[in-house]
Amino acid sequence: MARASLALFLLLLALLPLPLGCRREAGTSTNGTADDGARDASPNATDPPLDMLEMLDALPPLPTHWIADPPIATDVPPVDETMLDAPFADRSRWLHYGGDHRGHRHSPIASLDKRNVGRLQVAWAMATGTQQQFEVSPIVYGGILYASTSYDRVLALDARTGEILWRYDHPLPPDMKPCCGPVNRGVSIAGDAILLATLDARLVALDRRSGAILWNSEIIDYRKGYSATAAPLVVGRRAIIGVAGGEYGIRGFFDAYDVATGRRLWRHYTVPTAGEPGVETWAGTSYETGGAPAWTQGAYDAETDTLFWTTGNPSPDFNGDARAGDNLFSNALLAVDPETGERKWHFQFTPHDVWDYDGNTQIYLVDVERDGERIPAIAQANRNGYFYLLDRRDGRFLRATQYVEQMNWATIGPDGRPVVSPEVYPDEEPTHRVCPGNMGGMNGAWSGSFDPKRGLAFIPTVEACQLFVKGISVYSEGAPFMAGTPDTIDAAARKAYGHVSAVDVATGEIRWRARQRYPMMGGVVSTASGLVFTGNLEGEALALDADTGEVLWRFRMGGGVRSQPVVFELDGRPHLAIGSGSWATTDAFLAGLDRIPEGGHLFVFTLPDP
Amino acid sequence: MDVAMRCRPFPSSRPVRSPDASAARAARRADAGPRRAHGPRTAIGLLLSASLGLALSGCGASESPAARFARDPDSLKRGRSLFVGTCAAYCHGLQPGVRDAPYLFDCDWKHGGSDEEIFATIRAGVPETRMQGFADRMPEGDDDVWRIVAFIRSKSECR
Repeated sequence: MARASLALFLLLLALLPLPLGCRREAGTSTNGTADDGARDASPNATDPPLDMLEMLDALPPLPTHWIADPPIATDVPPVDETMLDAPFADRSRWLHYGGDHRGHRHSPIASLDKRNVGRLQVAWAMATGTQQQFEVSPIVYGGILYASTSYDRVLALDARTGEILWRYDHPLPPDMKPCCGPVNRGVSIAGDAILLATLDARLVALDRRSGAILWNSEIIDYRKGYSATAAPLVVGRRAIIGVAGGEYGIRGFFDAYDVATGRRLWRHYTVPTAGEPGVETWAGTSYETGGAPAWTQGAYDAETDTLFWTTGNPSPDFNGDARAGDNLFSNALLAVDPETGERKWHFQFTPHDVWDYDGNTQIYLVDVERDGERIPAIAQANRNGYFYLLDRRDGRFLRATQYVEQMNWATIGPDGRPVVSPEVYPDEEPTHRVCPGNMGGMNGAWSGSFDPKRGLAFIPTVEACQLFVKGISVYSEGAPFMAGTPDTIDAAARKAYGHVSAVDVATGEIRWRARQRYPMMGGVVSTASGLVFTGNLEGEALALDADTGEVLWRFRMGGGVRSQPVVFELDGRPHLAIGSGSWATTDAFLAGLDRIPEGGHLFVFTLPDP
Repeated sequence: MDVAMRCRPFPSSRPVRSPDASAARAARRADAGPRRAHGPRTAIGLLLSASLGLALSGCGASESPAARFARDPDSLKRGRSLFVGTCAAYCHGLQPGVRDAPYLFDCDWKHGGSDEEIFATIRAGVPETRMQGFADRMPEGDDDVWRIVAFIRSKSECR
């Protein structure tokens, strides 16, 4: 069908009396050469024909920054700290990527429940116009839904109708350095600003009412291998954002910015330099290209005024020979003072990682009973296949339990340190199938949820083991620095699969698993009424029963789900927003899929009139 | 790898060259040897083009260093390790399939498929893309680049 449409389009172009390129006049050419005009004015039979791309290129560029004039949502006040601290006080809102500062992605709404969820229907859908992984977790405020897409496009949409009210396309350089596609997982809201962290490592503030740029700050020079893909975490007047680049040998860090001005307040490097504590965990000068990016969102504990952030893999990924040692603070959880960015303590999940087991999946601030005592804890389904529970006062290891079905890389000792099986290390000619594969387990590119009443974390999980091929690492600034490659044997054999698993946070037990045909790469939102919403690579939006995992509703959207769904109420009616749109490269890598529909769509579902 | 096989044209070589590849070719031509002050220019030009032609076809006495490395198992092994560690990663896969960067063993070359062109692309990179030039960064310099070329040739699916 797509091919037929393209053929028809080409035919129509061919029937045009003049090449479209002739419309461009000398002096107005974007390339500014008089030659174009001269050639166009007197077409010569000996000139090579314009190809398709040239013809499209010859059209005047369309504006991509659409400002809302008059401004929208002027009837609601700026988003203040009180709103951000109690985001569900008004259920028409979804204000944080993680739902709240504790990263629960769990909504109190009860207008949608196990009885009526089967009647959900499409309220509206919206084409993003972009391809290659639509990973958004939308923000909803004042009746407006703010969604970022791949390639750093931001859409302000009427949450009731889907009408585009403003749009911003961030100008991106062709040599940008994303690890794994041109993704963005969401914008944040603070005051009157919508905050976008970009693939060329900038932080941009857009006026939520008009889409106009308020400020635009460089985080760091992207050409060294940096990018930013997460939604910043807003705590008070600060927006905290970390960088990606663990596949480029960067020096990882996360920053705090003043949301009013875009001025950087502090930077926390995740790899020490000479003379700093932890540098002794890197052989030689390997810390200089040590990686440990901070490419996902952390959490904030108001009780103790502590910011928690997580870090990714050391560089190079798959060959640790030149970086002997634990490689602090890669694959770790860091507790820092949000005022100064100074570290209070750390816990490292996977020391000296050579499997790309970034330690930066979604963290949940939870409270658990232990020996009759309430313990403030942090729970995480780590990419290495273990579900961790740590004391969030001091980082003390409490427990790790396996949440994946297939696991052979290590056991976890009583101190929380992995005991690695000797045969799982990457090899020039590997023969040992290692589980989990390099994408996890669970991955930082999508987020689960936590239901505090049920004490259950809902984890979208990958089961795709790999061979780890080791190679020689060559560092060249701005080039991938990975020193190996995963051989995705399960994906190639179509043996990769996935599930959503409900993990009892207090005990680590698996309460239920909802098995999926392909690895799960979409996020989760849950509700107090006992629903778990997610989506799979087959392109289905799903509602599961939080108590049993039973599928209560499904809707085929078309493109595989890579987004983080959110729920909210408008005019008393429940709404579910979920993005559809995956990417053949990651789907082939992880699941062996090669027929992926292009494009991205945002779907919003609601209940019909009673 | 025997020379006769390598003399075949590469099937899907595309005529389109990146500006960078042209520049690299020009630079190679400039480097081909010092021009003599005496002697007819045309003859030198002919000689140069003849030797360039031979180099590009991989035949004759001026075989590329890659062909030499291709006969040495240790060099091929090192070429593979360098490829796996530096080129494969999440970019150029060892197996065909959907990847973010071109599969390099199907002989469908975007920036020139001769040994010298591949060598030049690895060194100079491709502007406006994520293909970074490695210039002199390989541990054993140009020899390592030629070993990578030799490995790519050895795994080529259209020999």
